[in-house]
Amino acid sequence: MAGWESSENNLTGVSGLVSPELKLKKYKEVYPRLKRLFIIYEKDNPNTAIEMEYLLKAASAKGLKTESLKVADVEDLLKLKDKKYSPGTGLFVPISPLVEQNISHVISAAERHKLPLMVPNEDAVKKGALLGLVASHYDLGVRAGRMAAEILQGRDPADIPIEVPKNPRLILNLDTAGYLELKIPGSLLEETAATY
Amino acid sequence: MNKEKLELLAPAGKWEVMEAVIDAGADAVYLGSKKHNMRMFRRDLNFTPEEINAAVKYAHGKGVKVYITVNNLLFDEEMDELEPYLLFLKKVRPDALIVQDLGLIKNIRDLGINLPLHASVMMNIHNEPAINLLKELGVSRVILSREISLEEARNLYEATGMELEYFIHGDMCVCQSGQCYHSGMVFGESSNRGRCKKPCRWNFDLWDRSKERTLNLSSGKKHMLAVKDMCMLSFVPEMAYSGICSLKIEGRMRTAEYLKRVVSAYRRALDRYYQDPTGYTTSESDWQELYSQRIRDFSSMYAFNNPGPSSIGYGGEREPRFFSHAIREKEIKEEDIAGGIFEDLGEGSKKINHPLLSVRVGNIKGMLEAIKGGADRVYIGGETFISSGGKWSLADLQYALDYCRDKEVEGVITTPRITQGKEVPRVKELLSRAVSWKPSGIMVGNLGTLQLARQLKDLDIYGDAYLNVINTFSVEQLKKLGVKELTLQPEIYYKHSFLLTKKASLPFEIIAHGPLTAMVMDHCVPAALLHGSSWWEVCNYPCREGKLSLMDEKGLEHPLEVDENCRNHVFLGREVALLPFMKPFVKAGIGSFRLDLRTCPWEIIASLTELYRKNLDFIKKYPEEYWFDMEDWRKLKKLCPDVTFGFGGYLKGVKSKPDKGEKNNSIEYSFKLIKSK
Repeated sequence: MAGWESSENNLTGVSGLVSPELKLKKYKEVYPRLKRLFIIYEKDNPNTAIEMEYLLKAASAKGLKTESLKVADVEDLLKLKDKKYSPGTGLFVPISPLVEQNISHVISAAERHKLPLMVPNEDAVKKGALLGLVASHYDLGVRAGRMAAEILQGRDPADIPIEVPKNPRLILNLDTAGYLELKIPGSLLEETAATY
Repeated sequence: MNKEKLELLAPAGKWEVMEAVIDAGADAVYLGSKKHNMRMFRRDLNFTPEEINAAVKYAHGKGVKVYITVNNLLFDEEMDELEPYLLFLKKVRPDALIVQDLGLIKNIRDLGINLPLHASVMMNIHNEPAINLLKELGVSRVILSREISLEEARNLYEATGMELEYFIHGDMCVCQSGQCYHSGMVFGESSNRGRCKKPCRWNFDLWDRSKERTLNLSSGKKHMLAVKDMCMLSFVPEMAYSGICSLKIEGRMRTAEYLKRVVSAYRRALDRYYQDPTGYTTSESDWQELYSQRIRDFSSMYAFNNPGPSSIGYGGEREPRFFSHAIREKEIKEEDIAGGIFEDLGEGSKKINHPLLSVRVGNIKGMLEAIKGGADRVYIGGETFISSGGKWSLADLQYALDYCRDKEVEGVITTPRITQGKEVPRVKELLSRAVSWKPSGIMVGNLGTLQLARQLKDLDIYGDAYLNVINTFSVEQLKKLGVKELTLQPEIYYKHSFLLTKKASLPFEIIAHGPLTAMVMDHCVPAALLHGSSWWEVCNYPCREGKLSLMDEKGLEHPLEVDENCRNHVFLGREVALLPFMKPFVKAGIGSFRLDLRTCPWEIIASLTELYRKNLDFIKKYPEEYWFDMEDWRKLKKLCPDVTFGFGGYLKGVKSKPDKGEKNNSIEYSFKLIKSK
């Protein structure tokens, strides 16, 4: 695809990628002590690579230092447990199917070191990660359906911009927030789509 | 451990039965007068005052104790009528009075009557702090809740030293004792006043309301709440070691012949046990004798553990009689609203100028919406329902209270209605932390949590409906114990509640909207039927796979929700909605209107709360000009398309006696209408 505005070919659609800039903004609001991002991501996954590109730029723009763990198999995740983390570190998992499927290792490392963890799906928050800013798959489906209808009515896919999630859902795990002794302002609570 | 020999306690509904059970070897008998006691189905049963006097003399002459049942919940007018009877009992000097009503305990002591008091099973005593509270009130024996195991009984005895009595034989309830409002709300015949019409014996289908289908069960599994009869004959050594002091046989309506056999069998068993405790075995012939004359099949119920499906007589073929059939609960129609179905009884002496709007919610999201909709107070914590996404962790509660403080809304922490076994330390932990969170108060639903809340300083205590307060004596008793506000019991006819509200020295809240719990049970229906287990066994949680209801013979769905402790809550078929009827309630001095929105999708909580807020504000501001806009009713119905609304027990509920010209609704009358199976 040539770009978000137009694929310049016969492709269009909606992406589930929530802007990393928005994610980091929200991360900082929930965890104001955040100074350094420890990113745990899947090696050689093209979707991960796209998010990583935007994520690193956004982190740099926000003055956050970054460090990362490139995960090739589950064994790599075990390293998280014994690692030393600087004060102000927050763990971050971008879209990474391998890591997401084995998220319990990351969650237990976060718990052990009393660190916040941001994840790309709601289920991981339910399991104990601190927060997620995730796309509404219902909303994505509706919008993709509308695009399909337009194409069926004759519109060229190249003329339909590729869309990103609008109003992504903030998911918070309050038990984890309590464990991290965070203060959660009322405005943030009101913003949540779900809490666990 | 209690080293005394176990007392064998038998019921007596009339003189010849008393003679028979004493002949058969009862150590004590319990009986009641023709008024103010639980078993009042038949006029030929129970004792006149003269008979009571003679019975006490007769039994004492045989070395047998007599306990008199004064074990009803009582309205104020009945409490007044009771005074001469209590003074008569003082003279007769039975060995104890069995009581259920908290107010009666106060009344008895205020009258200078120092007879020993036994707390009825209907007081639902199931934890140590509750026993300690009753000890403080002068109760000398507790008849334990039927869900208590022998092991728990032993622990309770060791912790409190209280005399403990335990049901060992006969008819049982599926619902927690004193907590069943189904019969009262639907028929106006209260289980808590000895007039239960036993809706738990109806047949039901198990209905998945999320998929709108009946779940296929093995054929004949229709009577899914019909518990078997209890029989503990085989477990005499276990009972002797349990810390209980008295073995109670159920059946004040049973015949002399039946009870003589039951009492004799247990007498022989106890005698043989005490002659040779180590060599004791159950007598096959005694067992056969009981088994052959059994009414329903037998179960040891909760004596050893939650019995699960083994305690239910699913086929219903051994039910001796059905006291009622399912009925269509009255649905609120627009003509009821237009006709002002609740009579305006005028203002009471205690006028509440600013009744509050309180909302009970199942999770923090629900709380945010309730506050958005205009709630003055939110109830957070307590039991929530799994299929409705309920969750209150300690962290949730803390964040919720911070939010309430910011918004200047009262945040009251609720505690579970039943607090048994491992749930007690959890509530203790919650309350110890709650002190530092500074909630606006703690709501309690049983005497144990009340006792725990009393230990905390500077926290207001709110009493939930399940304390069964229906007279001013109970109000005064609870006020003395530190309660600041109470909740009307939902099975009581509204005029009685209005009278109570007007006379009481504490404000009352009313459950104005939401599903009303008809029964709360330790028996888990989905586990028993869909998995074949009880909650103590490994369970695959079929309750989490859908939203279940019990569908009665009239096709009315009674939603069934499972809480985090696996307790089952069966609701009335229709949710109560007093939205159109609030004005007479405000005039009667109701202190606050509670919306119970724990089962409500969070998306509609704000809009629903707003409807009540709007009407309450209108009534407060323009009490004379207020009129209900039917559009609000239509909005409410549109918000809740899957729900039908009714009157709870407020309209057809429990009265002290039927109004003039009202149809006889007695059990005797019902017998004529319902064919015996």
